[in-house]
Amino acid sequence: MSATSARPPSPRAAPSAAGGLARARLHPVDVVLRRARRYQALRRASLALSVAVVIGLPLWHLSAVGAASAGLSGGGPWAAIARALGFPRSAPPVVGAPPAIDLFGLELLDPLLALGVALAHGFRLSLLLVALPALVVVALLGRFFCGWVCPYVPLLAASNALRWLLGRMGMRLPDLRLPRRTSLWVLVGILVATAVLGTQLAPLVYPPAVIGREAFRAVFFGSLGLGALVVGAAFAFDTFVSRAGFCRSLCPGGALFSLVGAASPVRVRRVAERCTDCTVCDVVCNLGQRPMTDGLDAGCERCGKCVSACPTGALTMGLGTILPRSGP
Amino acid sequence: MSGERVPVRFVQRLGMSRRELLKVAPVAGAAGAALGLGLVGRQRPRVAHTRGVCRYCLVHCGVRATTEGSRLVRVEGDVDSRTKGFLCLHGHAIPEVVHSDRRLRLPLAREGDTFREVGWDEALSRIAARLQAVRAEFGPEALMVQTGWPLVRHPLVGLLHRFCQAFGTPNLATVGSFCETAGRMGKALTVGSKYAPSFHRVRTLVLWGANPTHSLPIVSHLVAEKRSTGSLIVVDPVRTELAVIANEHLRVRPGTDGALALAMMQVIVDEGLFDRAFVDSETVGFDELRALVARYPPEAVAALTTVPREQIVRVARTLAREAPTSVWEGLGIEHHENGVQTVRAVAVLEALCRRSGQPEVNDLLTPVGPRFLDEPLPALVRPTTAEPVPPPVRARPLGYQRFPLFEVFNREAQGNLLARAVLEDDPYPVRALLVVAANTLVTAPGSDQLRAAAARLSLLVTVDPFLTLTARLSDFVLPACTFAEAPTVDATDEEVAQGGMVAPQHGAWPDWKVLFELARALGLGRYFPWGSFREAMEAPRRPYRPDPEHQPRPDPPPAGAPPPRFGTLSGKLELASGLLRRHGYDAVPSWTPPGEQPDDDFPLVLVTGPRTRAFINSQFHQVPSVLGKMPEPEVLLHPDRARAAQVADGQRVAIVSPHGRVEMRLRVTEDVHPDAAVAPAGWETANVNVLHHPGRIDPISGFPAFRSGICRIEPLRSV
Amino acid sequence: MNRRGLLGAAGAVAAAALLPRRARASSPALRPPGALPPGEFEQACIGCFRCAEVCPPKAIRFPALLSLAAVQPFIDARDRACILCMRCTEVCPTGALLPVPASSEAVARQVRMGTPVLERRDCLPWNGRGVCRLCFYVCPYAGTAVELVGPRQAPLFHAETCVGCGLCEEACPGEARAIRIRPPEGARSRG
Repeated sequence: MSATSARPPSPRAAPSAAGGLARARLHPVDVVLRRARRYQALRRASLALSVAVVIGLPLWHLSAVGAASAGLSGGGPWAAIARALGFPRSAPPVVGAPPAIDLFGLELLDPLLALGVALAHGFRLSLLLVALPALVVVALLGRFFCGWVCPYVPLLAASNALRWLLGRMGMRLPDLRLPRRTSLWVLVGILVATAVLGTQLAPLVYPPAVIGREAFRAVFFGSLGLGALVVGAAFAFDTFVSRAGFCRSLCPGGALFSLVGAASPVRVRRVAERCTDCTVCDVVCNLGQRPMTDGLDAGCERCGKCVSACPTGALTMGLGTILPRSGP
Repeated sequence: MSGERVPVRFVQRLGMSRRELLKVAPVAGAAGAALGLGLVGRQRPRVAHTRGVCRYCLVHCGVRATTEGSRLVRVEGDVDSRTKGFLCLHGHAIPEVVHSDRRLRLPLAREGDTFREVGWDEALSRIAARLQAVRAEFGPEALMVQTGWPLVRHPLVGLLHRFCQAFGTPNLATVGSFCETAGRMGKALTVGSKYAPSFHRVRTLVLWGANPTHSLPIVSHLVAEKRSTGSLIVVDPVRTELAVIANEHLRVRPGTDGALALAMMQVIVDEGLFDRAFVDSETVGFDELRALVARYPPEAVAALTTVPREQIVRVARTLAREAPTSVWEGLGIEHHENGVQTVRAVAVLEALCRRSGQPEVNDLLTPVGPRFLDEPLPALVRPTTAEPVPPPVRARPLGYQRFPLFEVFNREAQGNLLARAVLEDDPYPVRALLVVAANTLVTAPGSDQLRAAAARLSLLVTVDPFLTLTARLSDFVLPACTFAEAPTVDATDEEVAQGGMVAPQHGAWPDWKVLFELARALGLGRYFPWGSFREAMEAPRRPYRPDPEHQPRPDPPPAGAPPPRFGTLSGKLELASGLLRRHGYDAVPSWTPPGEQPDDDFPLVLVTGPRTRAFINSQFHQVPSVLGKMPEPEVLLHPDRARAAQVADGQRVAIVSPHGRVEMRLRVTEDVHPDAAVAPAGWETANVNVLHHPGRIDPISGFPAFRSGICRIEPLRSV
Repeated sequence: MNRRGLLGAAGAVAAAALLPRRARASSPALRPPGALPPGEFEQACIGCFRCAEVCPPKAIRFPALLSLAAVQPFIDARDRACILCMRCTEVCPTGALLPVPASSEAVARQVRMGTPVLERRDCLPWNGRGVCRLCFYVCPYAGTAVELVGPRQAPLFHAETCVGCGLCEEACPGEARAIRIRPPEGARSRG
């Protein structure tokens, strides 16, 4: 027979339209955030401020804390002002980092840390009072701190960029999607262990506390501790195992904020007539929310990236009724 | 004093006495039980994940399908795939389609006005008997096979070619009869190949009669990005979403796009904005073109196209100066009597903006060089496959004489000529129609004539998962699997769904199995000796030998000349097309006005068929989640025209043309051209194809003039 | 998050909250002044590092260990002692360090960071090798917490009046290293 018996080459007689698209940039990092620019600018400013506080306050205190103003009844000009205002205080006016910050005597404490202390040490009204501002903000704005304040976000952005870079270089990175409930179990586990062991465990793994402490340690003593390993592990997890996996499915603080902010009236809203189902919003979301199919729930951190990425402006941030609960 | 702990002040502390502890224990126990319950949860059926590909459009998005037991519960984008997790609502609706209770379960055979469920064997043997009767009486060419969108660039089409050849009919018609071919022809006649712009290499991107936001949503954000990284220019009678954000929107009058392109070329030529060296060395026909465009100065064209003169000039300068430029054209300029020439005009305009030494900014989707004439398009699989090779067919397909260039590019029948062949036996009788994955009586032009033709057919068979309108008028309906239920060897061989995402539902068969078994029932089993689709695809093949009489060869280049860069007859970029001239058409992209012009009775230009986000032609009308996105069709009309017609937004109106009448809801919007009425196609209950004269077709491609009819809008008379 | 999971989670946390609290056996290091007793301190301290941030001599540090104690501040008096400025007590958010006014009387009354333990063998005046008196000079409560006795002016420490700041330990010269502040015992180990 004259027929060739060789297996024919795979039927790629011509590249299809799909082949052209293979070369197009289809990746969360390539999606341009073109709308709601002011919102994104505000958010980035807020995150920058948070990082500035985390690094800047220790730097300031490093230079301001001098032995010259030491002594049993010492204190520099700030202390004098504070005393004049009625606050008997010799410590500087602004101390700490986002999860536990002291602003001119106004105490703001992260609800997760406050809860840990209440469980291990005992409930005190003062604990509730210092955690109350954060609780109120979260109740109103949802899981707001995750998108606007947490100093881990720059590291998350770096992890996403690294994932993109490695993907371009040919590496296939998995995206293990742990169920979101996992973070709830982490939270419960930490709280139960805190109560049983009688020592604080959340500060060991909760990124704002860890990053704050490590930044302080690096600035004051030029060294890093266990926390750096924890943050490094989270970064490695986000890069090599699961995109934004720590925030999405492991962070106990995120789980707590999701619970507290479940009834927030501020949410992303979709105008169905303008939606073209291009999936860009779903893909760009770090936390695995599904704006395209109205699948938004308490896990949304109101970062607004979906709103900014929508090419037809079908998504907006606004007030609305209580979020529907979506599946796991 | 020593050894005593200094009392430190505390605030309250929950102290526990033994009694309190006893009270607390049962509560703690209950809480622990609740915890255990939460951990265990309810029993779930076995969950499995498969990787596959969505085949609702040509993007072939990678998907991850989740099945619980035997049920497909969720399909989402696969982040590990080429498409990185993107998936539009159609892909998400796959489970809904697969498990729809409207799906056909068993073959149906017509008995009078109703259908009876029959077994596969009975259905196939009865169909085969009727086919043999038709062949005996009218010849094998009396069978036509018509395919639809789901089979575009599907390897099965190669097997359908083989089936037709084995049966002896040349009449395989695909969507190419009225989709995409005109665009491909217009471009290939200019640069030798179809192409698509490469987004990040292009600087100025023009969307001309195309709306990727609706037709290809996955790249919509990439196109939108052009607005900030380059220039985005939209030419469209409707202010689409991308027109809203574009740098320039030219709201052109439907049917006048060719004139607009010629006017822009006139500006470029007149102001010397083109690369003279490039034109001289790499193109042919410049003088002819210059003579043509001199007749289309922007001042004269502005009134015709309703695009302001300043804008024409400005955009022309932008295209020429801010190279690289690429034009993404769509059906908006193809569905006219001057469709091919309009695409030619746009392609030549783009060619005039090229610069010497500029790297290619288009992804050439078919090989560059004269080989394009050898490659069977659009099917990617060569029609002659394994031994035994079916004998060549003597008869010529429908449209062979009337649309010779269509034959050159498609090597298949022009399906728009079906009604004439059935009703008037012109050029010869056709009496049997096999519709595979299409809804011809709704989507093809000339719906009324097709309905009459369907009544005259001896045999009409539809292969489809759902009971479409075409199926309802058929003699036999064969239930087909969706792509999710059948294994596929994709032409790119990247993603292979080995066993499908889910098992075939009810009694449905995959298309290939229907084809193989029908062939066997017809006694043609020796041409289909395979037990699976994969086996058929991997069977060794004979090389394809083109028909020398039918395939024009390019002129051989002069000795010593470098190999041609473009796949045209001359080897150069053809501003004047040698192939068009050879077949008696205008070599340069001349413009002719649409055959029907608005008058007092029908003051509006009628545009039907722009893509809607919800539907793909007539697909998805039976899927609730998609139907919810657009529950009913709406005709768009400008407020000035609405006032003149005394109709209001939201009212049900009649669209009346000289050829038909359709009722639907009115949507008044300033986004639509003041001279146009725009209505969507694909609705069984409001089929706008009846509004067009079936004789108004492009003489080069045979395409219908869907986008330049005439009509008026009138309120419904209340009874 | 389905309802069952949520209910289970809430139940677990409630159960944990109602359990009697267990305190740790003993603290391994000196805590900042005003600290809760050992065991309770670990319950309340969240490792926010504010006490260390405001400490003028940077005496308060965090361990670099891989242990659960990694978030808890301590003072290594041998390296740097507490100067009793009490700023750390002003900034503790959870009450692990209770506020103590920065006055001699209040500090003497409320601060018990540890117990002084003198190894007489190593102390220069006590073992006859010289006259030192450094611990006496640096002690803020010289005369009550430590007094000099005998012809060699050897120190005699009184644990009941010593606040445990560790200035003596910091000052004790390198060859001697005789005085050490021992951290308090845990609550459990008593009785």
